[in-house]
Amino acid sequence: MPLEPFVASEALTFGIELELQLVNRHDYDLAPASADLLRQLRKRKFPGEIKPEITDSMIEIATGICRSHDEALQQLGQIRDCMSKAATALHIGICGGGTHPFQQWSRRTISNSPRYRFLSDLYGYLAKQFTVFGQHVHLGCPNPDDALYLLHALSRYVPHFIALAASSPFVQGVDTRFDSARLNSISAFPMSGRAPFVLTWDAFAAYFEKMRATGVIESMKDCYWDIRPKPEFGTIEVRVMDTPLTVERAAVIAAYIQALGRWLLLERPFAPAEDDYLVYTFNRFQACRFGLAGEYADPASGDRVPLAGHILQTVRTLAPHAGALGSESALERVQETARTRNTDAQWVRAAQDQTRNLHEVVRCGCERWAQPAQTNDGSDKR
Amino acid sequence: MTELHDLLPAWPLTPDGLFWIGLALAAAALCGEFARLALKLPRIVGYAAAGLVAGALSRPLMDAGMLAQTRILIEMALALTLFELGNRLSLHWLRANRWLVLTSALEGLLTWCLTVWALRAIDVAAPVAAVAGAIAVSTSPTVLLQLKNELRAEGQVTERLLLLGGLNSIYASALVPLTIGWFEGEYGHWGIALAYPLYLLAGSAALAWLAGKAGHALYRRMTGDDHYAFLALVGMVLLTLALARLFKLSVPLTLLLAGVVFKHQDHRPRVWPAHFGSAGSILIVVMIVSLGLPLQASDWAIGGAAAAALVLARRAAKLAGALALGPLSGLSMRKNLALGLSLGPMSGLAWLLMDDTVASFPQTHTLLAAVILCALAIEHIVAPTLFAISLRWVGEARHDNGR
Repeated sequence: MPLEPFVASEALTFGIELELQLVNRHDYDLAPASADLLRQLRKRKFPGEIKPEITDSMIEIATGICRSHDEALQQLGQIRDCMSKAATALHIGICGGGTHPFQQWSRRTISNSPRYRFLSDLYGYLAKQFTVFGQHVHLGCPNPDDALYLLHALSRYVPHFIALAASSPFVQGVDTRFDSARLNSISAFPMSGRAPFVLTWDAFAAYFEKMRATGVIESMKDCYWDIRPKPEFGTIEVRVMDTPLTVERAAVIAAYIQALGRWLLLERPFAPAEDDYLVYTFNRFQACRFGLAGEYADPASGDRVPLAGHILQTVRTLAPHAGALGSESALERVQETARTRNTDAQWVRAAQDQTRNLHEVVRCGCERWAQPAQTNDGSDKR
Repeated sequence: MTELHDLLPAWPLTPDGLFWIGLALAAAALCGEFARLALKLPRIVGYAAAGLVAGALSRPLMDAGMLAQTRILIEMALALTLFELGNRLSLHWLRANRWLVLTSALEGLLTWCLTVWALRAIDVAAPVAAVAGAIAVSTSPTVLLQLKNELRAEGQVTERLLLLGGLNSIYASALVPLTIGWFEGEYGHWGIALAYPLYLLAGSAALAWLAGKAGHALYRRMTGDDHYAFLALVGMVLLTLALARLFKLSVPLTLLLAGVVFKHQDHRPRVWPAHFGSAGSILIVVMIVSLGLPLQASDWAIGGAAAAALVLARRAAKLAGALALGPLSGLSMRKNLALGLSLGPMSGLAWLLMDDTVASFPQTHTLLAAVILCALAIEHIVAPTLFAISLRWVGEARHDNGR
């Protein structure tokens, strides 16, 4: 399929996609329940979209086009409440988190759609190991060249997004000692990692055609880059985040990306360069492994600074843009998370330390997902 | 002085019960693998076939005492699975989805009414028809759990099978003593008619409550949900079985309710090896094989037709029950059909309820035993087959059949 034309979209509008876990209520292992849940949701009204994913224990929710943090939070809250009601009638649980802490990938079944069957045939066991759960944020771009500028400029902040959303310390019942182990599963795919460094749509189209001619890719869907252009939506899609444990944190991260986008597009504070990527893999690893306690190698200065400190410094820079977008409260949450280092990965580890039972950790994760923020412990502002 | 012939085995050799049980187990394992590999059927079909063939071939070698010895093994296997099924029965789900309660009630009531009607239509005596109908309400917990584990079945149909199976087993366990009480009333023994079911139901519920509470108190003090912790639970389940027998209470009702009470003490998921591990699985094979042993050709002559009527009526009722209200509870018609077709298993619980009835009400002995043994023989083969086909049809069971 040739590269689709880039559809112009309203700058800085955004949409959030969350891949969620469906679990049974007996031992809280993943449950093949997406078809039943979708059936249950058929007659209910909610904003955005709910659709199946590669394995039938996963489901994806997506907001419509949002302009502000509040709007996104409201939509996500409505979708969550609607799904929770439907899930209760089926006796299944829904939870966030980048990985299910103890599921065995070999027990998963691939969803019954031609695309997913094709992926399963192509990637073998990797397709089942792809039972990981991410948050994707689409950011609207007025034209394709701005989209590519934003894509590469935002790459410097990929470690921020990873660390703020990290929620996948356990894989197959083992503490990986990573805050986000999910991205390790994605790294095995041939078209994963960073996007090629091209800054004009013509150059990108030429790259795409060359790759298509080799047969390595057929469409943009085959590119699992950390940030990729989505021409049919007129957006770039940031894909590095784990699905957080709450919709509140998901909305906060999206608002942070939106504020970054505004700053970058309006002020053009730096010109992206291929050399930015010299430290990309190091920074990405630090964020995955240590979360907010990791280090950040500044591609511009070459200095190594604490990642949390770099986030705090960025939030200060973004303050006027957050004001213009009405997302001050969201950026306060980012600031607080960076200061306290109170991420979802820490929550998962603390729950495991307390209960010594990963089944119970998933149960608590379902409760956390289902409850609106105001009913939670006041000290935990997500 | 000891002679050489005192030290050597006496001739002719007379192997004891253990020899025959071992032989039957080995044969059952072979038949189970044959069913899986050659026929693509669940192993349990092979076990049941081995039991039926062994029963027919070894009839001259077996006596009533030997068959009676298997009762404790059947009860142990049942106790473990009844508790496990009770522990999967979620009251939260029933509260959240009232259509499931109605589906279960309709399915149970329809099964009882239709089987009694069918048996009466072929002139089976009213007391036997009433008890057989009550027994037919239950779905075998052992076979349900065995098939779920072997086929690695998971999904909405599987979850509902366990829920409806747990509930109808409770109904059947309560209905049978009530029916026996009714017989006694018919004979003018009103004291017994009222006191016996009351003692059985209230006593079983009380013991279940105690066992569930005590089990939970014991289990939560263990360091984790590991193999060592669940050993304490096995001990508690077997102790509850022993107490239920000691006080002549209903074993199935006590164990099922104990599982429910245990589960609802807190929200924490309690997970232990399926079927209480390998020992539990062996007991289940012993149970399936043992239930085929007592069946004789004369039983088919006495109760064959009635058993066929019972099986057909029971299956029609369970299918209709699932189809009638299932869609309102949030399941597609296709999955409701699979659910209705999979609710058929009859096994150890039906046998135990029959045996208890015969003990308390010997007048029913010959016909009731024949009807239930023949129905078990049919459903041991048919039910797992239909279960596997149905669950594969809706994509909830693995096609590799447990490999």
